Amino acid sequence: MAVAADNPPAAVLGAATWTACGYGAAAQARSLRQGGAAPSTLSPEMAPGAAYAYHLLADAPAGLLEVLAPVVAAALDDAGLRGEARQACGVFVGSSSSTVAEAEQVFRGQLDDPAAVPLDAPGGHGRLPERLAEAVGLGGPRFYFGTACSSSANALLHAQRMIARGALDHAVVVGVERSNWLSLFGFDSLMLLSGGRGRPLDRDRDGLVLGEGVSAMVIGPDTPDAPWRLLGGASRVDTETPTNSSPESIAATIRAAMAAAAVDGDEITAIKAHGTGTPGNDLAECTGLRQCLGETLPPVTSLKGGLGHTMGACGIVEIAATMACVDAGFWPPSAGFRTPDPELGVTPVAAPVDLRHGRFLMNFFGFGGNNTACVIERHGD
Amino acid sequence: MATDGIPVRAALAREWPVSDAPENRRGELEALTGRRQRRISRFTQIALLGAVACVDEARARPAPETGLYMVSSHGDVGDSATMLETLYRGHQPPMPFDFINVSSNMAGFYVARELGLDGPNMMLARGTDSLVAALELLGDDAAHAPFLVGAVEAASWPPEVHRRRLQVAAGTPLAEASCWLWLDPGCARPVGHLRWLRRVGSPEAALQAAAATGDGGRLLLTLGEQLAAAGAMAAIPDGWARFAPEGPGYHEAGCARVLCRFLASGEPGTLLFLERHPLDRDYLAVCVTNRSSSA
Repeated sequence: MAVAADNPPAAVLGAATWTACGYGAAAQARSLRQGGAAPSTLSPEMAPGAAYAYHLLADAPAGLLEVLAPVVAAALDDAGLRGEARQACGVFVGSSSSTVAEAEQVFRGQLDDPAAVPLDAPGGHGRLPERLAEAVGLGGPRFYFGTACSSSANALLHAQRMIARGALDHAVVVGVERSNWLSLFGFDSLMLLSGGRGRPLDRDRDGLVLGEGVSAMVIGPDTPDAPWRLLGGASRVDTETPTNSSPESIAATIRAAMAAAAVDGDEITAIKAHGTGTPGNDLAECTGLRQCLGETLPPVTSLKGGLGHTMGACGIVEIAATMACVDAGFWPPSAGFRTPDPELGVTPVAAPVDLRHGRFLMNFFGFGGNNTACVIERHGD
Repeated sequence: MATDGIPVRAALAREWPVSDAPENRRGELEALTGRRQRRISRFTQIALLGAVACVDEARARPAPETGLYMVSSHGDVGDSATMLETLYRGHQPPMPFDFINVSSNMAGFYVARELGLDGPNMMLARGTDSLVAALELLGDDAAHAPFLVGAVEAASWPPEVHRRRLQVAAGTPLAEASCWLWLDPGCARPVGHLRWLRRVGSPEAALQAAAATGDGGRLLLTLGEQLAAAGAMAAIPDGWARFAPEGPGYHEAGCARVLCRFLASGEPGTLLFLERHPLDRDYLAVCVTNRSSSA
């Protein structure tokens, strides 16, 4: 079932983004044209001698809200949302690790106290949108989405739905993920981390590299003035295994998303794959894409080699980055890609492709069988 | 929201008092589902106990495309805290399944698998009253397609830490909860109806609209935590009675307790749930009616 079936498109009215590639749309385009940011190397204090790659925000304050609030305010400003419209704007936050980074900072400072316990603070997942709304001055309905790596993509589809039925005039949709050891060591325990730089869709891919990202996008009712529109999308659960989606369920989700967006397969201009860089996930996604769209695909890319895997934030982070690249006149290369993998049957683009408008399929998959896809469109100038 | 409201095929509130040590619900769950659930967390056990029992109430199976919308203020906070403690104090990484299980939507995954669902699986939260957030998000969508909506709150130990987390006074009895609503527009014999959910400018407007909605039975009012704490509507309006079902203790699914208990009670009447967050200009009002008055 499509989350957003039969909805009118939503216009993208403004955006702001901060990733390892830098702050702002121009930084994303500049960096991703050249293959994206190189990850930093972290040496956690609890694992002496170990080193992990992580795509980090450069020169960012440590606090979650200190990064989040300015980005959201910038997106609202970019959309020109002021006064009453701003006050009534809905807040949709998608994240995987939620406030874990904050909790770790606090607990790290309490380790000398044997009675201290982690997460010993009021709040919960749902307090994050409340705190954000308070910081930025938003009074509309607030929602937290925790659907692993599809979180902010699902937040976007639901914001579109509420706007479509007239329950909201505007929504700011946020993807946020800050670095934390729990996620790093959790993925490490699953043996899903790359030993070096991520190489999504490459024959030699060996896992993912985590990334930080904070992005916000303001959407509203469709308008001919807006260059970008969210046409629609869908989300479905695959209950085969908790960590891997099957090609069939991925294909079913893409079909549902295209139906919701009223777009046929041959109308897709390019594909932004979820493309984590793990052997199994990339194989399932490429097989699902081929099942759905045939053997000859439009240009395919994964952004995670350049941005890192920003987990629950990747929906808005990667849509914003894609928009930045297309606005700059190109479809981004799949960072880290060197060698085609015959088993995938999909060769991603290795160099920027001239491209200024079209309809773009965006895939996002997460633990818990959460498969989400959507189609965005940029008008021709 | 549809004029006649959205039929509720089943409603159920399961709650358990929190004692000094966590009780494993595995046996209870095995008895309910008829099979052993492997490698799942207590949080998922609790989610399954409520969701499966709610569906069993209706003596029917949800259609595969039924959307699953689960809410939780804190999710699996106990296991998350344990993993952080182990990581920072014991320098031990999370065990793989422990890490997978604290993913916010993992309980929904197991509920979907148990019930054979392949529609959307969402995990949401909003301060207190997250269930209302899910209902607000769904809006009229639930008038056209079935949804299973549940609020799940698990405790963590020791309870005094969890009380601090929940900002309740020392000694306050705590509870865990798994409260579920099965919204099904195709149900011919619902236990009740979700009549409307709207943002209104004043309590009076909500009361007036709710009174005009029901067609018999008592008029019942429940204030959300924020309004109650602010001392709003200390005097109950004429013709209305407060609805405050007793529970085994405090959890953050109080709104879900109220809505599910009322719908499951069979008592003729109309229930208005009213809340206002300090950030909000308007009041958020939810009106449900049970079978007798909404047939």
